[in-house]
Amino acid sequence: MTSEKLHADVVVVGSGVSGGLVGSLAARAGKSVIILEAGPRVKRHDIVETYRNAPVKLSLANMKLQGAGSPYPSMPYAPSTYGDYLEQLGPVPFKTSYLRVVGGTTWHFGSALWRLIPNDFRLQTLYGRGRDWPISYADLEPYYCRAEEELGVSGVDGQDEGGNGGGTFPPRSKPFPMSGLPAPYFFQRLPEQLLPAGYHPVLEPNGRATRPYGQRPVCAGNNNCNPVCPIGAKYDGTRHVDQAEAHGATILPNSVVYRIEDDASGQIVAVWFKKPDGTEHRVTGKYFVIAAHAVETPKLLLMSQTRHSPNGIANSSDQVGRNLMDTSGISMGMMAAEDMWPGQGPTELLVYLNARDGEFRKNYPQYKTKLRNVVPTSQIASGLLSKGVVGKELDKQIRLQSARSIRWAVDFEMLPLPTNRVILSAEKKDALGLPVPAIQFDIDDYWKAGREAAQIDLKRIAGVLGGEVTKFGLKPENRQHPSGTTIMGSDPKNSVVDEWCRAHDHKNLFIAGTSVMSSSSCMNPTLTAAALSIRIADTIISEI
Amino acid sequence: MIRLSKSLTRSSVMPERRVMLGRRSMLLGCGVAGLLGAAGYSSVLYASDQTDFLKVSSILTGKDDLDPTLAARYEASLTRHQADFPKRLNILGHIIAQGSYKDVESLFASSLMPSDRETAMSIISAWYLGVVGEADQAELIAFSDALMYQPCTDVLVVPSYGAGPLAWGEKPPV
Repeated sequence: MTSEKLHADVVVVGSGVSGGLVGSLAARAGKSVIILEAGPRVKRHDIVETYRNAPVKLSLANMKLQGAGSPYPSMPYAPSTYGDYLEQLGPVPFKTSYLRVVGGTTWHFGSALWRLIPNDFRLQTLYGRGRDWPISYADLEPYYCRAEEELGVSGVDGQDEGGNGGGTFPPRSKPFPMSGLPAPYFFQRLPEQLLPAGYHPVLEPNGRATRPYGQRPVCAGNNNCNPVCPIGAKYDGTRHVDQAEAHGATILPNSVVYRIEDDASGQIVAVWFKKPDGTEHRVTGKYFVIAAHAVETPKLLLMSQTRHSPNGIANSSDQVGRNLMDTSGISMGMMAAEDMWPGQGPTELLVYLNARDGEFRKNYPQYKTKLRNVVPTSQIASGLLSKGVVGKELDKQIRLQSARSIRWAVDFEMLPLPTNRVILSAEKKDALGLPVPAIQFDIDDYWKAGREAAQIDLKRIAGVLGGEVTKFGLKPENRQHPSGTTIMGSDPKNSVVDEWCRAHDHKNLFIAGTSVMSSSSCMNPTLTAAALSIRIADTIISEI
Repeated sequence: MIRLSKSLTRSSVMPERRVMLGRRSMLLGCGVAGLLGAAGYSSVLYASDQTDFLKVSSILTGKDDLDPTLAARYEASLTRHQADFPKRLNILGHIIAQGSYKDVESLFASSLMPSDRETAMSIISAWYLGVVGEADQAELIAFSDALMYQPCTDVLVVPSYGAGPLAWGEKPPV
């Protein structure tokens, strides 16, 4: 153990968007802040260079190859999820890919930044499914506005995100901080064809700048949101980590927190971390925020079995690690009847939300139908070459298929099931001797009913477009939107945190991130995590 | 022919000369290679048959403006991944020269042995994908210069090389 004394008003574990936001806001309010991050600090130009030099380009276009490579470092003390770090207990593999670097997983997120809608907070009351949140949309609305400002969201004002082609929905008290991105031709032409059939186009609110925003330049259509925006036009967690640091916060990269220490009164007194050389260090503080990602946060809590908390910190309910959700979905590939040219501009923008809300949610889940807008060249060329296509025909087919290959994907809401969970591996350990996360996951009949409904919908869409369906992907595809593992609720017996994201068991412990979500919805969860994190920061600042 | 063959054999004890002769054997045409014995191949193996690879590549890809520097790197990489690649290249070069094939279409329409077709595909695949080798062994030689991007260069960017701020939205050319 080191003799160096580490102490702060606010100790944050995890330097992603949630931890970065809490740390930044607390530092900006004059509080002393320490942010611990398991992984290293990386530089954008190094990641871009590694990406460009990599034989396997990691992108949304080759989900199958996601295990093959990532331009982000995998350290023995903080292994990458792109390797075999996660232990899959099945029956459905939970192939989520998060980043253990300063700035976190937003480095490679597509940057969709959606709000939930009011009924998403009342799933049990309205539809008899899942859980209600202990807070309402109205409670969170001002924080959504602030999150949109902090993250710099560009979006279309007046748009019905309920998918019904009406006026502004969900209700909002402020316009988007930045106007929306221009729609590429693909996203102009497709809506022309689908609107008459009742499909209302919705352009996703996202973290790509449409005017210079803080340090960020305007999106230049690099079509590389995943794995890395080469120019930093897209928001990522480093923005708030840097801001925290500029306001006096201490960032400790390569610091793997492995234990939370509590006392007899239920207060958290310290967290312990290991450096890559195995040395152990202790950080004390007034308030602690665990913002380590929906898989790593429960892992840390479960590892922290203390005299006062024998089941792990914050786990008197036995709900830590349970209720793991995703927005796992299905996909469809088709050849369009005319040139559509996906791949211009950002990697995603247009979605359809006809199944966002309604009585059907009693029977099957809400879902989002989205389009991949990734430059498809390498997949198309590889496919043609493997079939032995050469010469002029090869060039002709590359152009034709690039212009017409359309890739649809559906994301479903998933219910919080106690049996879907993150536990500590009984066998596998990382280089520091810490157990790796083991994940037990399955789909239920509710999800399967959604798959049936969405398949009918996708076939109808293909029919309207006059395209030829080339492929259906009907096995659950992980969408990298994990949530629920430290679930929020008003009853300490069946939930981990209260409506303020405060641990029921420990007054000075907060959990930030998607792990607190009481329901997953079918939408990308980052903005909701960010809004809740701002709320946490407000609470902590007011109490210190 | 016989004289050259003797020279090559002798050159195996004279490394610097070996390379030079390798170049010359290439200039004399790849027909020679087919007639060489095992010793001859091992000598040619050390030769930097850049122009030869470039010529074969040009016919296989249908492009006459291939970058010689990239050609040298593709050839070196293919040889790293497949020890008998120089031999295979010489055989393929011989077939192309013998049949006076001007393009890959006519070459592939001929009764090509599976191994020769495989060699041709490995060269075409390298130029198009910019990558040599499979899975863990894969090696990137070119990214934005990979030929696969050329057919759509008027519409699509090479990922991470964007066209500029908000530079999209127009209807692409037919």
